[in-house]
Amino acid sequence: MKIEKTKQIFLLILLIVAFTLPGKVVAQVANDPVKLKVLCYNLRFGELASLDELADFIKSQNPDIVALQEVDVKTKRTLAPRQNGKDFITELGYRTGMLTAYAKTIPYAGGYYGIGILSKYPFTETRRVMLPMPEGSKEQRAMLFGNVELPNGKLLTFVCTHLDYPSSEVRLVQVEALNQVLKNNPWPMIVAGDFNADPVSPEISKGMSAWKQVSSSDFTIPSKSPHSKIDYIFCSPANSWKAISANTPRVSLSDHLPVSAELELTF
Amino acid sequence: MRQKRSSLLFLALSLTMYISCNKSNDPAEQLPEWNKNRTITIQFYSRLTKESLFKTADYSQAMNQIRSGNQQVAVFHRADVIYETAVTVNPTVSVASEAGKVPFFVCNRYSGNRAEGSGILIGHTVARMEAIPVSTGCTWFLVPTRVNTAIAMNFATISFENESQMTSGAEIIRKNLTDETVLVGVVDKTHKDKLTSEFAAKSYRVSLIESTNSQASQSLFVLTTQKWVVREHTETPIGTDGILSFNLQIEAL
Repeated sequence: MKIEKTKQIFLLILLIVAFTLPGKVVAQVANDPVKLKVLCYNLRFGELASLDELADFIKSQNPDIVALQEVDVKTKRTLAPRQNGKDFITELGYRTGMLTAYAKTIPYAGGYYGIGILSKYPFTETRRVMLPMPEGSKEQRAMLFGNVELPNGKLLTFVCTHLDYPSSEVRLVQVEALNQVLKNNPWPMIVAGDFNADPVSPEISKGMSAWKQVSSSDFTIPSKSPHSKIDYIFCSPANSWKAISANTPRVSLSDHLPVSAELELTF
Repeated sequence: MRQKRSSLLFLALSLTMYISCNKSNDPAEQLPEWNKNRTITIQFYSRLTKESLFKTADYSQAMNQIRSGNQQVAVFHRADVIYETAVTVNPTVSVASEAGKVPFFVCNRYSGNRAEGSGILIGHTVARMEAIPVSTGCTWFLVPTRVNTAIAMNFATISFENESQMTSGAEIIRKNLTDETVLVGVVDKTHKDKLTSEFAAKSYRVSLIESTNSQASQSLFVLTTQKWVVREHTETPIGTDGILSFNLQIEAL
């Protein structure tokens, strides 16, 4: 009788362990901090480097997600004859093994000019959102929004952008629009791009004040003798992100220097 | 010689196999004459088993077929992404680059060092795509495509392994499938009746396509509203290790 009861208790404990332990293990893994490396690079439509060179550089950095600006698709530019007809984002995806998303901003030289994202991890959604063109704007610009599913099953919103160059007023309107689009976004976010604005400009100092700036303060342009920083990586919400390191590699594959950051995301 | 003859016979049989729309919702339905100018082509690659599509990094046969084909969409069912220490092996982006197509990947689940899912190739960049997780191992994916000025098509795909996925997935399909949507998916053979019963309403059209390969444990299906009809499908083997290539001709009515 006693042995029978002991058996039953043992079985019960076994069942409880069997049904609760795996759940807890999965939950812990899902909530563990995630380390990510982010890279942001304005490619200057490949005028200064081949796609192989650009892909080799990206691979050497081993990033998880990359924001790219001045990305051509099938253009025929006189300034970059060796790139004629190439689909930059797809070819870079091929050469790096990463998944791709692209937002055309304008038709140009028989093809498109725009921005792109490379990601090691799959997108669950991508969307192009055109930025406003207030008085004084020169070119249509956009933000490329991608939700990425991380290996722990959690989602991350990654945004790539390239703001217009003519004036601070124009960019401030575009930054406000970007903030408005992302206002109610429920996932942790990274915005990376060429803002065409230095850190003390109102579009950065005020417009992006709610964000945590995680790229280094090194100058990014012109790449040969940089004297200005206009390329950034921002994160939100600030308390979910920890910057482990930030780097501005000195490479001359474009007129910009790339910026990278190693980050830790806590859920 | 005999083997060669058998292969040729199989190929000929496959090529002449016209769709009977095995499980069309209304078998007595009178369709208008096939308008080939309003027909889209989808090339679907699968083993129709639970195995991943590519066993080696040689994608040349599928790539050559896509490069020379006239399909609007190509799907690589279970073209998993493998995260190795130094490199990421991603068949979809490799084929896309070589074939001049734009790649997408729909992730069904992470399993060890791989993301299991399907690759999709289309011929142009897009302003949006969407993947909705249905349940573990099952994701609804949709991307708008541009066939020509007369036909707008949203291409969708989903894979069902079990009944619970289908229960949740059916709801998502009903919510997202419009007159512009062509859904091509895979269903475990044991659940195909459930699929047809979920979409038995007159507003839908379900076509189940069975492989001639007796080892196949899954069926291909096309699900649309009554605005589309599968006119023809052919099945050809790609290589010798079990990859099947389905050419689907679907008309916008």
